[in-house]
Amino acid sequence: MACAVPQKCAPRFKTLIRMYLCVPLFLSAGFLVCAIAYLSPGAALAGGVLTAFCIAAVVFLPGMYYERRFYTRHARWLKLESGLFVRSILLVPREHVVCTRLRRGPLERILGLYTVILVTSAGRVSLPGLLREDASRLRELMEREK
Amino acid sequence: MDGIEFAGRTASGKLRMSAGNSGIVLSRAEFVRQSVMLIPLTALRALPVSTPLAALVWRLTARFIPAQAAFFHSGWFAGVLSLLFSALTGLLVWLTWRWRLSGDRLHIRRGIICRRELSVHRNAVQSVETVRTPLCRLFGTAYLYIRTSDREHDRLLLPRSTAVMSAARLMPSSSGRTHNYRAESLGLWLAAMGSGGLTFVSAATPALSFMQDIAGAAFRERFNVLVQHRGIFFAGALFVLLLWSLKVIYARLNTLRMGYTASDARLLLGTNGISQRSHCISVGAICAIDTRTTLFGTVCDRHSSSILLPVNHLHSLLPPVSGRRLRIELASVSSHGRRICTVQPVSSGIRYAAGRWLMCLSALPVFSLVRRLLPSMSTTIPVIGFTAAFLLVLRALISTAHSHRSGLALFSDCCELTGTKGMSAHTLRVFRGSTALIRIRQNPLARTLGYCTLRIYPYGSKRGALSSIKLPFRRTLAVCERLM
Repeated sequence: MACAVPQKCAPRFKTLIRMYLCVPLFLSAGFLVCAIAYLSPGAALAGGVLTAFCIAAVVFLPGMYYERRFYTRHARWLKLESGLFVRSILLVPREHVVCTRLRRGPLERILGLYTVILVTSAGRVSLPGLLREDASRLRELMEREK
Repeated sequence: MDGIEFAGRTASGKLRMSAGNSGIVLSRAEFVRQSVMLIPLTALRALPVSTPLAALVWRLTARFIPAQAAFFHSGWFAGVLSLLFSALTGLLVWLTWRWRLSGDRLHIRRGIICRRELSVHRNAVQSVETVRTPLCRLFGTAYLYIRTSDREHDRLLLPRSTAVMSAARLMPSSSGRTHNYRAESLGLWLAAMGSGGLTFVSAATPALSFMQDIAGAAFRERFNVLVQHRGIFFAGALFVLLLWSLKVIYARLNTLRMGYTASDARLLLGTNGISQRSHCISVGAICAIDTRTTLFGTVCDRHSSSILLPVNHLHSLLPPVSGRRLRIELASVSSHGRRICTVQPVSSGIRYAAGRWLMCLSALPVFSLVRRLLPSMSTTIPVIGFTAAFLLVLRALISTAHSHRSGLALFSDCCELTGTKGMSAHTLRVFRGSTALIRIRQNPLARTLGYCTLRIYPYGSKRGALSSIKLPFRRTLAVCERLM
């Protein structure tokens, strides 16, 4: 159960991030079209820059974010590492996990992914992009009798 | 005269931990009601709700009342209805809210529409507090607050002696040596002046400037002299100063004869001010101790400490005292074991707080720019800018002064993290097994230079979390994993 080797999320998590990033891309594309049709050239230029930025984000960011996100299951605690620009490491002792929750949004259900939420006395810790087996294994480890 | 409810004082003036036998029978098989004083006190609290409700009922029923009955159409009737509703609420609460202490278990039943019952073993009780407000003292009653690891706390209004005996029954009995401490008068005055004083003044000054600007824009023709010579500002400043002085006096009156007694099993805190309070905390429930030093305290060697219990319960131990006395007091509550290792910041002095000093330099240019964008706020924006710059400088000063003490120290039974939070330096001692979460953060610059920011969350307390900056990353991570 406990495994000191860093575990990554499912590869489909990159697709999920890409889907989330498509929303600002569509919005910026819509703004660009409106700017070209109705607004000034300056606004069109700003819309173009924004759209180009969103396209670059959709192409490159998911892979970079996926590479920098992993978790490690130790016997008495869980270590979560994430963050693209600001790196964050969370250490969660097993004995202070009050309960665990599972969340699946519509996009996650399409991709077959799960988000495990650990409820601790200091707040909630989310671990998205897990497959069903990994999520149940993690929950079992956290909820096992302490 | 003794204001500490759990016990009396011995001939030498020390607190006596165990309450004497007063002949009151506490173990009961049936539920009993609280003190009758609960009726008027609950009625008073229900008045803000019952008054609009009574007005509504009065308006709705007015059409059904004959015009000849003038009293029922007057506002007096609405007032009588309001009092009636409040009294009825008080009576219902008194009838339905009952309690029972049987063996080692406390049961409380309450609720009118939604009935609730609490059943808690004395081992699960973390702290018990008795409070006697001036009204309670007049009628010989006391509030008894029971706190467990649940977020809600329970309260009972009982006769004084019953409250004291019940509280003593719910807490673990003490054995062995006890240590008694009394707060110093100077420390109490410092605490009264410092508590929220800076926040109070920082918020009031821009507010007064804003009023000055608004008055200037609206009433310049009529009150030109007053506005031109900043009359409103200075009058407001005097008023704020008066309010703050009253706040300080009130805070000081609340902490008269403050002291505490520590034993191996429990901690007894007491004050005898406007309200008499005595708070008994189970030592086993303490998850962290937070020591705080302001900039003034750094200069004058004054430190204050607080106890953190789970679920965000925070209790002040004693007001600012000298460093030597603080070490003695904390040792009486819990002494830390053998030191295992320490992690110190990668830099000290001004370099340690370089980011904060840079923020100070940028405050005034930013506000100058904002002032150009908002010319109508000619007084407010500069005042906010200077206030912000002043607070930022204070923060940078306190960080610089405590840079050499910052860091993480791991002991055999606890860990100590020293860092800056707000306008004061804190040392958080978290006991092993009470660390709920550890967060380590690295921004791109920190990743390049090899340091990180560490934040520790004590069990059940987001408010008590503390950060320490510029710690070496690998060593910090290794120590944190060892702490787990």
